[in-house]
Amino acid sequence: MFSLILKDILISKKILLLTAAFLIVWVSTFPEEARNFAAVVIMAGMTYMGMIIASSADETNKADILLNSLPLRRHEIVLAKYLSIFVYSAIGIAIYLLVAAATKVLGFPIYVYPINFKAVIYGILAVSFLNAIYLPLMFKFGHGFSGIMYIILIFGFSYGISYVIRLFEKLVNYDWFQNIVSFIMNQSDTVKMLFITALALIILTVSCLLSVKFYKNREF
Amino acid sequence: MESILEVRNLRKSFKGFTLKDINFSLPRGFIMGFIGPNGAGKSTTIKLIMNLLKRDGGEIKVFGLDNIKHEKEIKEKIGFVYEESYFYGDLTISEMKRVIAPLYKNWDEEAFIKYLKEFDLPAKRKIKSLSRGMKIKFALAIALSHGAELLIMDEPTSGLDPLIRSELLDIFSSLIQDENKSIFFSTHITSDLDKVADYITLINKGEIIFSTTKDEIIENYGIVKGSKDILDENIKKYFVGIKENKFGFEGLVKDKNQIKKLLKDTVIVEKPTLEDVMLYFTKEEYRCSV
Repeated sequence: MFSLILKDILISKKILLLTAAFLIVWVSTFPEEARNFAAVVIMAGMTYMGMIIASSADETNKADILLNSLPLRRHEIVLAKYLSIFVYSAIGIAIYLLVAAATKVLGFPIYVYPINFKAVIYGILAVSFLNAIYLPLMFKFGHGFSGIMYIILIFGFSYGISYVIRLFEKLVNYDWFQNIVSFIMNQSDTVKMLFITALALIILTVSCLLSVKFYKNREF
Repeated sequence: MESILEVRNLRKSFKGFTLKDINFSLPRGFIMGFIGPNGAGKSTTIKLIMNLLKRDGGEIKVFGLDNIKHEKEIKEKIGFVYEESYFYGDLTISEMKRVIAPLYKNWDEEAFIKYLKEFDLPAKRKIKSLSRGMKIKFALAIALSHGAELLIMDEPTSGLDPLIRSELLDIFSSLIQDENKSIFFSTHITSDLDKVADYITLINKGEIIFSTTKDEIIENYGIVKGSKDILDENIKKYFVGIKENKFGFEGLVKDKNQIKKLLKDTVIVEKPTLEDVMLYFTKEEYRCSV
């Protein structure tokens, strides 16, 4: 299964490096109030590019025929894609931290914001949510439409966030909602982070089960 | 004889095509040629064996095990070569090997290096820059480096020049020296099978026409040539197919001795090639009986 992740990285390595470079320059131009989004942007950007490049290679090479002729179970092929979300994110963060350290040591005139653990957890939630919708669609309909699907999802996601914010603004007038929010806010940071991580894992697990179901029914 | 591959009453329907309860079995240690015209159902059968398509009914046993229930276990011991290369074109041979090798429990790195040398495959070359013959050889090197006992090949020689084809056929013949290995080989280039196959299975329009030893075909079947005067409905019953022209007729019979006895010196009887056999069985305008 880890071979499949290695395969996706080997295919997309050059693009991933370029993407990381582009994202680092881009996030360094963010205003101070948006600096917490740096991790989310890096993780989402790297995952997006990794997924799209791997998917396009799978489509071009009709890879499902190869993969399903190898001693692999279909759920392993699906699981490898889900694990690769974290691998792409980790690569992005690792490159970012390396660049941050290098700019500091070498005294480059670019300021690279440090990334904290909290931002990474928010990043995990964001990429989990995005891919939890994208991957079942990809396993259901194939790689052909994955590029378009992902773009629609990103736009949908951006719209979705503003919708969620508006919804929160309305809900905040209700007592029960205020109680939930104050309950969460009163927890320690560790509990909050654990809650977000658990939420991301639950979303991914449900999505993964759905993807396995779809992929098992596919014919090649 | 132990069957390494057994297909029983296999069924699969698509819009406009049905694989109709097909049956055949391949004993261990032999090469079976799976022949038929384009669209006959060869690739569909192979995809069903590899569980790339879902069967509507019937049974497929590989190494005596159900191909779906024991899919992973079976695929550990299957080598596959398809008509098209499905390897990632942007990876090099050695990168592709790095991806595939850990998936096989019995991967033999030394054997792989040996085959790369033998097949003259440069490890650092990107797969998309390889010729079709080289891609087939790479697929074969992968298939032979994990101790595959059954090689399943879908039109491996199609589109190759005669030199590479002959080279590949020699490799297949040498492989089969190991009596533990078998090859299931679909092709429409029947001359390849004249050289290497032990068994022939002919499929047409989703139905198995016959599945038998090549010797049985070569020894018993016959191409009969003669004057059209001797052809009547009674005689035509002995023929699988007949091709007539203004000079006479040529036809295929399943039992050449029977026709020799019947028509004596009025006809010439020759050994058929597999191409003759396929042609007379599948070309509608030649068909007489079965």
